[in-house]
Amino acid sequence: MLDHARPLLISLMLLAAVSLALALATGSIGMSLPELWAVLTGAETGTSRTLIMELRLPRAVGAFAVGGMLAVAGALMQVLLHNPLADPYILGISGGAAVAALGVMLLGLGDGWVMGGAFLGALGSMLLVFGIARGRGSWSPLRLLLTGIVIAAGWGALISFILTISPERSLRGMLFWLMGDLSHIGVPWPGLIVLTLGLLASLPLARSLNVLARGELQAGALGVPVERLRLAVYVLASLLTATAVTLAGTVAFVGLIVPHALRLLGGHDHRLLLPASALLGGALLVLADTAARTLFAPQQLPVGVVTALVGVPAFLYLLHRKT
Amino acid sequence: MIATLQPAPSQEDPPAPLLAVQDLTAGIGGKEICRGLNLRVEPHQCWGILGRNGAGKTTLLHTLAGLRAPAAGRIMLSGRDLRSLSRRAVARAVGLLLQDSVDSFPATVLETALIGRHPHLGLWQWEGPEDLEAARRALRAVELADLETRLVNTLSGGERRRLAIATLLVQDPSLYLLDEPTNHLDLRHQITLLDLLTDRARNGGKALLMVLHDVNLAARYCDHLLLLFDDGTTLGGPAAEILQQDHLSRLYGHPVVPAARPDGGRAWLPA
Repeated sequence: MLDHARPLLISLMLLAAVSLALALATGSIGMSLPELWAVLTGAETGTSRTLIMELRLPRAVGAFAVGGMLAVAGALMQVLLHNPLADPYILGISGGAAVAALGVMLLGLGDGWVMGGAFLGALGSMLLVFGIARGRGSWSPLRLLLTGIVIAAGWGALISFILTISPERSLRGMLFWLMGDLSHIGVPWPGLIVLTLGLLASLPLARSLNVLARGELQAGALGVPVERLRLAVYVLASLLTATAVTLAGTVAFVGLIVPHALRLLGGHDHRLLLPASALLGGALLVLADTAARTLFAPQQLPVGVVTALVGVPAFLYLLHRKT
Repeated sequence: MIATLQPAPSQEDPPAPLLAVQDLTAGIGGKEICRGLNLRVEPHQCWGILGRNGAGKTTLLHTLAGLRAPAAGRIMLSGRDLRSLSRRAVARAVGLLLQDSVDSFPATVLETALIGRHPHLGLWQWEGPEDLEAARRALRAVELADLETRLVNTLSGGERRRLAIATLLVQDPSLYLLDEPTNHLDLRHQITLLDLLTDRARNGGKALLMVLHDVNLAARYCDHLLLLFDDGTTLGGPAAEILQQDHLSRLYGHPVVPAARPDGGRAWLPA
């Protein structure tokens, strides 16, 4: 098992390192690898150090954390809902966050308020969906999925409503937020800490998730406390998604395509799939964000546009290669 | 608190049966599938469960596996109340072959067989060489050894059935609960797999409780039978006592008659 996992994890770590180096070296002022090394080791202390350490590094690390959180949340959500095509936003967490965030923007409050609002909106939506899906009895994945989709549709209507009544000057900021935008990440640590904690909390569940993927009854028959596991997975996936959405808005496709691609490439075992998703999701979003801020510089694209443009063909390719 | 009601087995007492069902009442969707059922299953026994569609055979198996709570009564596994045991402990003692398997997610044949080890492994423990060997042995037993690296969703219905049985063999419980084990299997595999499973009981000290729709397979492989009638009553006992024309005709709501087989045995046929 581990023998088969090691090469994949090592190559993904290399990919993550390369993506981060590329993100740090690329931008309005390009930098060679030796120059970058000098900055990172503290040998260089000029303006390039300020540029790297205060602008590019927080953003790159933040992008990595957001991508990792989304991919891990997507992998968890897919098992929870028994649907390999589920994504972290499917249950309306991003919709709840968006309504709250846009509402705060409409009131004209600053970035900090927007983030706080988004996080509270995400948590509120998570509790609302769970409360309704659970009702008074037990909840099935299908009931959770349908409840989530309906609530998400409701949030969608509210988002359209807010966009309609908003003044022209706030629209651009709102659209960027909705498409996923990493330019507001000031400190990368909250995302990185949540990603690490989320991954550490989900790894002990990973073998049980392998069993759960074979069906709830099979999992119960093999000794998995299914209700407890589902609750843990729902809370974990929701908190990861809520944090990611709070930091970057709704970045499309990472949470759907990364775990799915890794599954198609042979990552069936969740003990491998979860850390691999964190690495690949992180690397992918770092690369996408680097492209988003450099392709049309000085104009910046919302990173969600890039992930979707890359994600769609990549996903279709993977799908057709295997079937 | 439930465990204290049952005295600890001492030297003089006969060993507790593998499975003892006491005054069990269970139901699903408002229908009672059994009322006041009592059952003792000992090692080496093969029980067949017969009944019409919707009589509650599957519900009974799920209840015995601890996946559903009974309305009343107790289920004892080797003298210990099922409710006092953790899910993991139950899964080490009781294995359940489900009617159908789910494969929404890709996994190889070997990976699927290996999940049978789940209840035996600790939280951080990975499958070791002996677990891998157990999985390969089970795959050989069901003739799937050559398909080890195939993805489950590319298998035929019968191959999936054999894989589910292999997973159960890897789980290696003391009590096998089998829900229509011959589903999707061709004639030869019906016989080889029932030979294999009943051998676990007869010569391996395990016990089998299987839902079957074929009375003749039940007559051939089971030493005990449990009939679930539509009105919630049950009839259980040694196969020779239960296999009577009137019992079977009442069970299925259709006349069943015995016929002589060319090899001298007896076959049960619908009139």
